[in-house]
Amino acid sequence: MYDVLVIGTGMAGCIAALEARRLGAKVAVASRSWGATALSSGALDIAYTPALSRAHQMPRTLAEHVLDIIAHRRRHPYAVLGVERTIANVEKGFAALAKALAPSELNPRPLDFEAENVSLPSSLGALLPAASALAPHVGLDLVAPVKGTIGVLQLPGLWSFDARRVTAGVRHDAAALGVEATGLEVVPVSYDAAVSAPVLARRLDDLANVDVLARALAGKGKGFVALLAPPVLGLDRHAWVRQRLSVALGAPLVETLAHTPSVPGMRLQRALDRAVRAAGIDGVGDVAAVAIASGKVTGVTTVDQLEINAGAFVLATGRFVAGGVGWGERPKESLFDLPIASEEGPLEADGPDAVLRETPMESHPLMTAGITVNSALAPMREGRVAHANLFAAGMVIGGFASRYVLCADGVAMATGVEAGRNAALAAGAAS
Amino acid sequence: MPADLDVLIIGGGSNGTGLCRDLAKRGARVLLCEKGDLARGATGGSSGMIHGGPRYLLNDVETTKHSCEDSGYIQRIVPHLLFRIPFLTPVEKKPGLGVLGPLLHDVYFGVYDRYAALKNGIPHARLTTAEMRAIEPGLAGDFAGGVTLDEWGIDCGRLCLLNAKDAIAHGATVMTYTEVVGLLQDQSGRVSGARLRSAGAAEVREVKARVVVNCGGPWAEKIAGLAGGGVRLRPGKGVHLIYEKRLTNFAVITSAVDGRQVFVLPYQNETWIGTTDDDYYGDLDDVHATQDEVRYLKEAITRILPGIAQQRLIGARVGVRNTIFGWGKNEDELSRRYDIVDHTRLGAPGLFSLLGGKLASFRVQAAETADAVCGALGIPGRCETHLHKLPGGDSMPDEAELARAYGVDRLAVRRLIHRHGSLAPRVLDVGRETPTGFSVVCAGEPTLECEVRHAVRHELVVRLGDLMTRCRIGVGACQGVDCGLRAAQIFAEERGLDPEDEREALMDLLSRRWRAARPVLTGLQLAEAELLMTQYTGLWQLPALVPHA
Repeated sequence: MYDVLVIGTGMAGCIAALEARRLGAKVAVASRSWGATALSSGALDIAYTPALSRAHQMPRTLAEHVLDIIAHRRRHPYAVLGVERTIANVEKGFAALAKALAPSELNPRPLDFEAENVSLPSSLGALLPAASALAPHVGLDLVAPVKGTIGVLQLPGLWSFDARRVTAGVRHDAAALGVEATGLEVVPVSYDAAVSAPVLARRLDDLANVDVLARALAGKGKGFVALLAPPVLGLDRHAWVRQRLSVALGAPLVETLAHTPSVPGMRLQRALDRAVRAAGIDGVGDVAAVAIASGKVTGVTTVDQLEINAGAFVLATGRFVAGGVGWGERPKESLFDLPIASEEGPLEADGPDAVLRETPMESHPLMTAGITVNSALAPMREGRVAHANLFAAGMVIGGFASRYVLCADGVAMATGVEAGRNAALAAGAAS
Repeated sequence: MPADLDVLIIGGGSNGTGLCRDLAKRGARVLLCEKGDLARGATGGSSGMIHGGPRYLLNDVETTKHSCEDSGYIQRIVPHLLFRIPFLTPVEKKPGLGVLGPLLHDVYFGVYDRYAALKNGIPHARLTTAEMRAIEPGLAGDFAGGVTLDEWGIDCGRLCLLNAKDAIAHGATVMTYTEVVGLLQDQSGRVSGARLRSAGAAEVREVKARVVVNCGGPWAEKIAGLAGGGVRLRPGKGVHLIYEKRLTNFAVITSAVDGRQVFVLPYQNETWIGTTDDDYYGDLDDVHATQDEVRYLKEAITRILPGIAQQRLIGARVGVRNTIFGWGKNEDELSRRYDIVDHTRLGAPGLFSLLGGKLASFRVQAAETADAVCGALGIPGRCETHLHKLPGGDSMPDEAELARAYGVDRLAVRRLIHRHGSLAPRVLDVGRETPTGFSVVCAGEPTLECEVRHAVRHELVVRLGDLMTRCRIGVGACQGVDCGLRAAQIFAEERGLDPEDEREALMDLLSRRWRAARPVLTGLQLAEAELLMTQYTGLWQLPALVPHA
């Protein structure tokens, strides 16, 4: 018997579990497999509203972006929580995350609501605004003027990182932002890397392989103020690998953000998994069914036929990628069959056409679909709290899409802290 | 712009490219203009079979015979593009019919067998219910037995490409993304050329030709309208649902709720379910599948193959048939016959229209049209398109040997040979130019980097999305999350594109995919779409995070 069972172990689920644990609850986490967190880029998105930023043509602080979101998107989790709770919870969640990631040396860039987002280069050559990022990607804000030239490492065979595309893309995006980009130059490296990014990253956890790469890099950093590398430099031993290669180069080394399959996402997920274990939280496998009695969730049955009971539950199963929300014959939440709404309102079962737009890269209402929650983050059904001891966190909550405003990590932090605390309180376990 | 043309052909489907090849081989100076890419309209939306169509036996015997005959020729000139599709027709038990059900089918397909020999078909076989369930275990229902028959599938995108390539080798010019916006006519009404506009351009150019042939498929009525009209079609919209992989051993024929024939078709690495057939009055340039059509097909198929409901639906192909007008018949009873119209009698000499017809008989349709055109022009010679192979059709290289020689996986080589025939080694040679030349760009297919480079260089690729019909980039389960990015990179390298143009190129591919995926965006496809949008809008800012409100 647990006080709190958190279903889902992405960023939101892990923060909820750690928060409930911190408050003294006996906590377990249930997980099917990795979801969107493990695919994330290495940036930590708290708040960025591109449309408004462009319209205003002026720099905006992180806090202003949060206000913009709340003012324009009434179903967004930030609007549900309100501005004060959002900022307090994000700060709390961010601190919990920083603590959880410290042993894995992923320490994120400090959060500052009074500062602007930084612009970090992605593996595809775009400059992405981000509130923070994990350690390997911090150190080069390419919009801030840097004296000197930055080298971009090209490993032959690693087609997913095209240094030509990265340099040209960064130049282009910087120009679009009205900023004179720092000098960038492709630096070819003779190291046979004809494998996928995750395989290469794991390979580089091995000293012998790092030595080969270090020899290929020796002296290549001459004349550069810093070097930009593909996000593949080690999986678990990334800090050590980066340090070693940086010494060989004779210049600082920063990784770009990653597209899928994302090594930074894998590092983050592994670090979260470790932190949850280290906090004394049990893992119980994948939930197959839930048991409900007199309006309360009483327990779950796992795919291994384990029955797990708990006083309160946190639903942090993610959205489409992780499978928390789906559309078979009709749109549905996959464990409790909770109703689904987009930011425009409840979804009809007719078919996805009505909530999709004509071209792929527009803002599709369907992509904002998820469950509806009250201000305590309790999932709602037909205008009432669905289950008295169930709370939700992360992307399973609808009303936003992580990419129309950049906020997915902030939502995970704000809702994770809130749901973890409310579950611990509901279970009578908070001390 | 080529001058002194004999013939201008409008339309780059199987009719237009087939005619272009035929005329070029007879020595005519030909220009083909297609407003989009090759094989996009009726050809691109077809079931991709060169069959006689046993369903036409009841009211269209000539079509069956013609198609079977020409199918035989097509198989000979381009053997590598073909693949056998064994069909199974389960016969459902009907009250009062008893053993008569299978017997009737037996007799019916017995008639079809007489034509089947023309297309190298294996005669039909009657199966007991037990035999049928043994070869197709997913079948559900109460059956009195079943009947098999044998058909051929073809990669119609590449068929059109090879027609065009062979025509070019014989002196023709082929211009895709070039629309005919007007026809040149003198005082007497004689058609003497056309006004052309390239996609995205404002400027209109004139080209003179002694004869213009309208091979516009469903657009033929509109094109004829540029010179006073006079031809009439009854366009029929046809939808196929595409599932991610091969789900059955046989193609299975059944009927839908309204009694019309519907089939499941293992096709290349996918499964197609088709087809609807409904009169279409809408915009020919903006056709998409509706929720009703998706449900109609799903319902029909899951009734006899319930397991398909759990499978991953990745898209819906839509095409509009260029069926010749007929009054008072249901859509599926209309004849698939073809008609060659000389517009002299309609007051526009110099213009011909090729209407109707089937993919399976495109070659003979083209030959007869070429006869009419050459007659009018006084060009001697006769059709030779059935005597000479299309490029790559002369021999089949040894799969194991190529795999060894180039150090490439056998499956990739097999698919490469399917698409390129004897020219496969030439494609593989491109792989030696770059360190990653033999890497797999699209895991679902699998397509190699060298094939993408080869296509961009030599296969009339103008836009990135054209690679879908050249080497199946972006058509599979990943929807372009993986392969689109890589293909865009190769495309940009080959063309020297800057990042902005590269993003635009990728948008073209993704937008084309989106048209197919949007009506069926449920289940795992939805997860894939979320991933795709996150990756491209997020990490590549395509198209720079569109403002919301």
